[in-house]
Amino acid sequence: MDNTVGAGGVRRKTRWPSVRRIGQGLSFGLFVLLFLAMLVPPSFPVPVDLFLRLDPLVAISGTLAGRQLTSNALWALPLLIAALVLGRFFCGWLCPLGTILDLGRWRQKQAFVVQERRWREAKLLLLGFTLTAALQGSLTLMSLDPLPLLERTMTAVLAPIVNQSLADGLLGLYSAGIAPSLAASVDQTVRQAVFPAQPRPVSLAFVFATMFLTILVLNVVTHRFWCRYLCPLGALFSLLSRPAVLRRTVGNTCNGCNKCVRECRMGAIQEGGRGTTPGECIACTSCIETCPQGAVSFARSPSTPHYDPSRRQALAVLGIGLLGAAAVRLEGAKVAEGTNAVRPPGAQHADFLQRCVRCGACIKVCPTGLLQPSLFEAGLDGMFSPIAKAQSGYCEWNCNSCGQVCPTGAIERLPLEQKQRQVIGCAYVDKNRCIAWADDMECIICEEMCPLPRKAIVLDRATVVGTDGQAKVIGRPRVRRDLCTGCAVCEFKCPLPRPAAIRVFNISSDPRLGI
Amino acid sequence: MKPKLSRRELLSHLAKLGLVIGGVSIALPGFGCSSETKSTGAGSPLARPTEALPFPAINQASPVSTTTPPAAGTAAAVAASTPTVEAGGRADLAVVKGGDYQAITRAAVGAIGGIERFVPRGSKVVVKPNIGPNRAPQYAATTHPKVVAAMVTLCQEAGASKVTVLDYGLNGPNVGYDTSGIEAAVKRAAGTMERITMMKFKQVAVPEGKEMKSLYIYQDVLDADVVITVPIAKHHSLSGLTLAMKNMMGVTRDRDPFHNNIGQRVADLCTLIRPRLTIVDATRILLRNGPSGGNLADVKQLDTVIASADIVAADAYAATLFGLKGQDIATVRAGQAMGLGTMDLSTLRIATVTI
Repeated sequence: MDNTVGAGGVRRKTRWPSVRRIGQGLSFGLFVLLFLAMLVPPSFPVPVDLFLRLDPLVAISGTLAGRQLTSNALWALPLLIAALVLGRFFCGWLCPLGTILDLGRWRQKQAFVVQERRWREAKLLLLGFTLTAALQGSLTLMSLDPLPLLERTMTAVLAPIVNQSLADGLLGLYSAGIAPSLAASVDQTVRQAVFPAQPRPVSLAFVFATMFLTILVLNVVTHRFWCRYLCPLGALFSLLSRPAVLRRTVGNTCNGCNKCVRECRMGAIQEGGRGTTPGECIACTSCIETCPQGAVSFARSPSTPHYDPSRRQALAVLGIGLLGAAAVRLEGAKVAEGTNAVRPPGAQHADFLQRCVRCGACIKVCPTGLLQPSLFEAGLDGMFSPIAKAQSGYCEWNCNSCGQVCPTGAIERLPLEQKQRQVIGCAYVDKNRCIAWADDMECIICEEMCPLPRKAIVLDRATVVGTDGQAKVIGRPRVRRDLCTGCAVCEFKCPLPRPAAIRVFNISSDPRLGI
Repeated sequence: MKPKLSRRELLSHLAKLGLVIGGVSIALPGFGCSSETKSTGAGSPLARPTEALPFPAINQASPVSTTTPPAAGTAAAVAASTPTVEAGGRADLAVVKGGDYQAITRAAVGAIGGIERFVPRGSKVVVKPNIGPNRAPQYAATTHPKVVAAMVTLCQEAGASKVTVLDYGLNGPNVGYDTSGIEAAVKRAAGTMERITMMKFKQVAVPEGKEMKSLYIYQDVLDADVVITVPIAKHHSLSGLTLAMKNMMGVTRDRDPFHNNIGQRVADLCTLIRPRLTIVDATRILLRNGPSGGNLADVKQLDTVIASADIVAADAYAATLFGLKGQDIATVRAGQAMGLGTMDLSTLRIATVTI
């Protein structure tokens, strides 16, 4: 960056904000494109999890929690280094959530709290908790990182709504006879190319919608409320920006008109226009544009006083973080004990939760909707992590997408043939409900659907007396536990109302069989 | 009812037939249910000793003589390259064997009267293969793409205005279109591969249905002038085998209701959507672990295609490839009871051809 931009009293219209807007637009466009590309099978030139790979908080907390440096974490280096030079420019120029918040910009002059600067430390506390919890092996708080948060919201809330409304709209046109062939072909070639053929809801959509709407509502209260007070990624960049080379500097021509103070979306400019709150400027360059005197520039300048937590504060964060994470894990262990969390294939290793950053990418790409975000099913420690829910789908035999898009390797990148053998659980027949067992009627759907080359469901022949008094032979399903992989297609397709008469359980602690 | 043609129509086809299956001799060799584990595929299968069929009547008592003189005998069949014009008696059911799957499909259609008998010029045709499981062709869980492509081409040659290929299989819309190789083959043949959209299923009454009173059927099938069912012959634990009749489930939206009393309910469906032509792909059949298979050890290569206007007869014959009878298959029994055709193979003129 040119350190003479806008310097001096030259009355020249700066273009930096336009450049920034283009940057924001491109970044947001790429984010959306990659989101959509992830739904279509690979062969995309850019890794579809690019943003999550670039996210330094994902890299740092993932490394801390997983106790190992993965190659994906190295992708975060460019942004880490850039932050040392350019400060929080990511927040102003690249962050897709920040761009959305900028779109909903409302005029406001006052910050909403007194002692505003103290409140800004909230996000640093949140970052502190996130990192200490990560040190403890818990990544639940990563659900507040803006990139996983936005990704998850789009997966669980936006995409299903868009898909449903498209499907409904096209169906409306089709059945009303308005360009029916066009409506059908748009449905086949456009909608189904991007979204699941049958629109389906994602679990916890209301939770994620509430989180996201809260962020939007707070944006009305104060612009970029999220970025100022809450964002843990913003907090990380804020800390990193301490030695930043380029800073906002104000020349002598400043007459203290305070226009930039009112303009600043982060409320980072202090009364009078000269001072900048350290770690809060996101280099959006609006102040350069606003200044009638052309007094503002971004230039090399000496470090200004910066946030410097007291020893007591730092210890408190560390202590609360450690105790809190321990409590969550304790609670998690207790809750998980009584539950049946079946994990995606490739997520069977013990440190799965120590690597899952809750971005929801696996949930998004699962073609059948088997993978869903958990709330308490896997304990507090596993909140928002993916679990297999056979009510909504099954593990497709010819699919290993979830492992392909996982940005942290929490779900292993299993080759298809290995995935097809991966045991994620085991099916059990509920003989009290099964049509063939309980009602002596013919039904072989579970056996029919079993995709294994050597079927894990066999039909035991039984002679029964039908309702007409005639003896007949029916097949009763029995699961071969040595063959079953727990793909859950049997549970999903069981024709009974839920719960199905054949259900898949996590058998990792089953004394009869271990994974 | 078994489609019957007048004697005059029958005779008019005789002349044609010599052209349609030129280079192909019709004969009644002992081809049928081989007890061998696998056909070699190479060399003339006729070189092998004639095996006893489970239903000798199919061959020996073939009543071709009722309207036409018996087709060329075994001797002529050995001279497989000799065109046999007098062999042109149009058969009720053709069983054609050979390594070129497009050619045997064409020959099978030719032997039962040629594609023009079934596809009038300008008609809209739906070809319904089995694309159910998400499996590659060699696993014998889906119709062979070459058989499907041959049918598309034949219909186009007959002057069909549109040839649409579709299947709403057991794993959901469009699953297996790619893996089965069928979508690519249909596109190469310039047919229309219909990607299923749920909006096109329309509820219709089943006036002749005994148990099925109404069904959701795909719009293109309702609109079609001609429906051709092109199943693969494979094992299925409820219906015994899944063949041409059960293949028709893929034009309906809701599969679950079929699983109770499957024979009758599939037959009900076939009274509503009556395929004019049945092509059973037995180029390789799936003996066990159907309908999805996945194990090559369960696959048996037969290099055979069966064609008939009679869906019940075609299924009954296909059952013999598994060592079963039509009587053993619920859909076939119900199909005959509903008047959709006959499973009594002894009443049929069967042309067995090897090319």
